[in-house]
Amino acid sequence: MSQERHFTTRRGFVAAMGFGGLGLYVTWAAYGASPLPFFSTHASDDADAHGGHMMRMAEDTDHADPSMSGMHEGGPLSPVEFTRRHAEFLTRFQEADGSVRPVAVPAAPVHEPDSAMAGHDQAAIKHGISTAEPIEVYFLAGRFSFEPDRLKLRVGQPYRFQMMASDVAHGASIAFGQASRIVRLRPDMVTTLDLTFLQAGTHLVYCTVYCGPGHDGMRGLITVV
Amino acid sequence: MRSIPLEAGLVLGVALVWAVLAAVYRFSPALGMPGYVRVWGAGAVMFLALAMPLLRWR
Amino acid sequence: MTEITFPAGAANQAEADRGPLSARIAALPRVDRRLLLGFVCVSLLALVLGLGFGLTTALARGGMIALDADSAYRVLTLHGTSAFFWWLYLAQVALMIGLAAGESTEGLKARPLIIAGVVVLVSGLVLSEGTALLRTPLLYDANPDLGREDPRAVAGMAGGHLLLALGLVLTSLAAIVTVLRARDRVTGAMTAMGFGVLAWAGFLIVSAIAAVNAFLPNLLWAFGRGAFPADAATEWHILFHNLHYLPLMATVLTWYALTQETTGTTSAFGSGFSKVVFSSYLVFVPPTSLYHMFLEPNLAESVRVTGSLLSLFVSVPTLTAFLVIVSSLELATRAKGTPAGLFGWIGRLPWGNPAFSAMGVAIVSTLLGLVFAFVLIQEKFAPLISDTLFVPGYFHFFAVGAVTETFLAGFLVIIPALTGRAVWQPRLMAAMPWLVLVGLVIFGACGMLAGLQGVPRRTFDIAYDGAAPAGWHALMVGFAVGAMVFASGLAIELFGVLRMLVGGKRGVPMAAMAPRPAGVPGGAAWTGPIAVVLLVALMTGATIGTFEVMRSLPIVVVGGHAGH
Ligand code: HEM
Ligand SMILES: [Cu+2]
Repeated sequence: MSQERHFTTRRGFVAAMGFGGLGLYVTWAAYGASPLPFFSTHASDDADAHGGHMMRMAEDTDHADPSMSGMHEGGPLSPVEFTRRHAEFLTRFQEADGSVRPVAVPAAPVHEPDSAMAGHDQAAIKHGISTAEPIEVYFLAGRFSFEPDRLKLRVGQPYRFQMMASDVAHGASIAFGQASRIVRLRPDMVTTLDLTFLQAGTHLVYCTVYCGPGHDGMRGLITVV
Repeated sequence: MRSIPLEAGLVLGVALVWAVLAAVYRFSPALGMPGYVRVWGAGAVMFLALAMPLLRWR
Repeated sequence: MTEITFPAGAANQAEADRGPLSARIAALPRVDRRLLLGFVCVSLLALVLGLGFGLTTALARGGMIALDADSAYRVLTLHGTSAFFWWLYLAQVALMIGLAAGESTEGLKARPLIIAGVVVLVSGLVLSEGTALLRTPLLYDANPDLGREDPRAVAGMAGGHLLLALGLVLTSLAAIVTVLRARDRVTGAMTAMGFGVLAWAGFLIVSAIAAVNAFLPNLLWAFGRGAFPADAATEWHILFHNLHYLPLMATVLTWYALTQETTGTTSAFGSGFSKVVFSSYLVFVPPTSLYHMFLEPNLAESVRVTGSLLSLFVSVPTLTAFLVIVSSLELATRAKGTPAGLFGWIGRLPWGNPAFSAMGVAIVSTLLGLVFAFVLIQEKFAPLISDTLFVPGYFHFFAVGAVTETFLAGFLVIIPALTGRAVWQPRLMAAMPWLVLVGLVIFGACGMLAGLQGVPRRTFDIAYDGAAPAGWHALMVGFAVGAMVFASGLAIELFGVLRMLVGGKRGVPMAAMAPRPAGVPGGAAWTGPIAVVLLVALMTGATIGTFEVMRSLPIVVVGGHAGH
């Protein structure tokens, strides 16, 4: 009977169509988000290099897991070291109104530029952004506030956000009006995010992981001038 | 040549996939998640057990 | 060499010969009918709770009612716990037991296990609901981090989930024994449904193991018997991944039974192929689990990327099952005389039958859900949408539109067979699933758009004292309106189902069709394949749209997760 079957009613055809969802791979690849190494991820740099931007970001995590931490030059920032630097950061840059305005300090401890950073620099040059060493920003999330909760940053200046949660898991999302950018923060695990704002503006920062009864009130502001 | 019932073949296939996954999670350092090894491993054993009555009919 | 025997036509005929499921269920021993009815009733209780708390949550999020933080998160905890854990799992037990019993002419085997299961499950339900009602709200994932100061809350939630797991093991074992004993005495062959129940029950047992892996450490800590469970978040993801595929597998198995029951159509592809499709859930689900963790800071980039690629496979079993059902229906309907056009046959389906109508809506809803599920598995989008309202916005297409509608459709077949009461207001009941779908579309569209704009999930006051972006509020109102619409449709369906249990008219159940094998050789079945092509086009559109949002966003992502 099978030789009389129309091809649309063959098992092989139906099974093959079942894999139709894999067709999405083409779109991913076209946007340079293809998950296989043989497609260059530089496509995504180019893809992102359009439109009006006010911020650029690179993300990295200092892993608590020693098997992964070797990949990051300079090694992970320990929670203890983070806490020390965070306190120092606040005392050094806090203004009279309570907001924090970090500025470059010549002797600040910085990471060695690695190959990925070289990539940043090329893209940065293309965007006309300062390729100066990023200014370190220490950002702590705890029940139920961010510290600092008011940051004053400069347009075009790269910042390296070192972020950690102090008690339970939190999230931090920066609102841009039409979309947001989110990170999850785990307790005692330092997450690093490089960002440069390309336009002036004021952005809400809010917690995206339910962390207890005060979760809804957990917010801050980033003012870019 | 001995034939095994389709049902047994399928369940054995499932057990095999789960066992392989458990092994991957066990030996791949980037996937430091022992919970996966426990769960997929236990599943592999369970499906293996489930295949036994299906095999034994003939 | 061993070879695997692949039965083609014979088993199909056997399935067609044994009569409709409703008749087989009506003929079960009295004790089995009682047990089945018990599971149906308890699961419906959970649905009533889930629906009520869900609507309250939605109204609070839309700003239509004001709840203080404690009550709001309590209601959300009660909603997730009642709807996700208890309704979806108790209904699965009811359907699994019903379908297993329908396999055997003698009814259920291993009844003591089932009776123990009833006791365990009811205690678990009481413990879960009681804890969620009275102790610190931990949300349905019962995160121990949030209960450090209230170990009893952690113990109660973990205890409830563990009792659910135990109840699932007991009832699944009974279902496995029942379908194994129901095999053909001579050849040992199983029907497609018998094998489907076996695979499903096996998967339920594994998930129970995952639940023990996730919640036993929490329980022990709460009793002062162990260290604080620092890995709770990861262990939860393992469990959760299983937990949200199981209802989908159950849904597809129920479609399979419902198609036979309401149209008489059996698979045109043979029962062997159906068995392959059913077992493919067990093959494709475990490797696709990583996408829940894309935002986790401790996940290596290489793992993220591989996880994204593997996740593309998650739809394979569901899409294949969809094609088997739709193409079989098309062939069978065309065989009765070809209506005009490519899609004319769809009009000849029994849309006036509430069970069929609910199943039809479920199929449409599944496809809609898949469109957006495929946005979520792209790891590059995780920083854009992962913890936002996008997630509940899309998954209610599955939770409500696909799974809940399907389970209710199953109940519309099983309950009349158990109680001898006719379906209440069949025309109204056949229309309600469509109302649910309309509500879901509003809820989903507003929820997903809000999520794309950054509205967080699980957050009730998103005004942030006026600092929130201007567009958020209107979308939240739309979200709540959509919820009101689908909650109304669901409430009416639920009322109709309850009327078949108490006080409804006695009468003949909806006519079950005499089963017959589908189709004529040589006929073509284009609708399913066209739907899949359309689905891929929509997925592509949604993905491109999301990439464009990312690009138009005033952000340049350079280098991504550098150094990995
Ligand atoms: C009956 C099947 C349903 C299931 C299985 C289900 C499942 C869930 C789950 C698992 C969550 C996530 C809870 C959390 O994040 O802690 C959720 C959230 C939610 N559900 Fe449902 N739900 C169902 C029905 C409904 C109904 C009928 C409504 C409203 C009419 C509803 C409205 C909501 C809302 C508004 C949220 C909260 C979104 C948020 O703030 O994150 N759900 N649901
Ligand atoms: Cu928080």
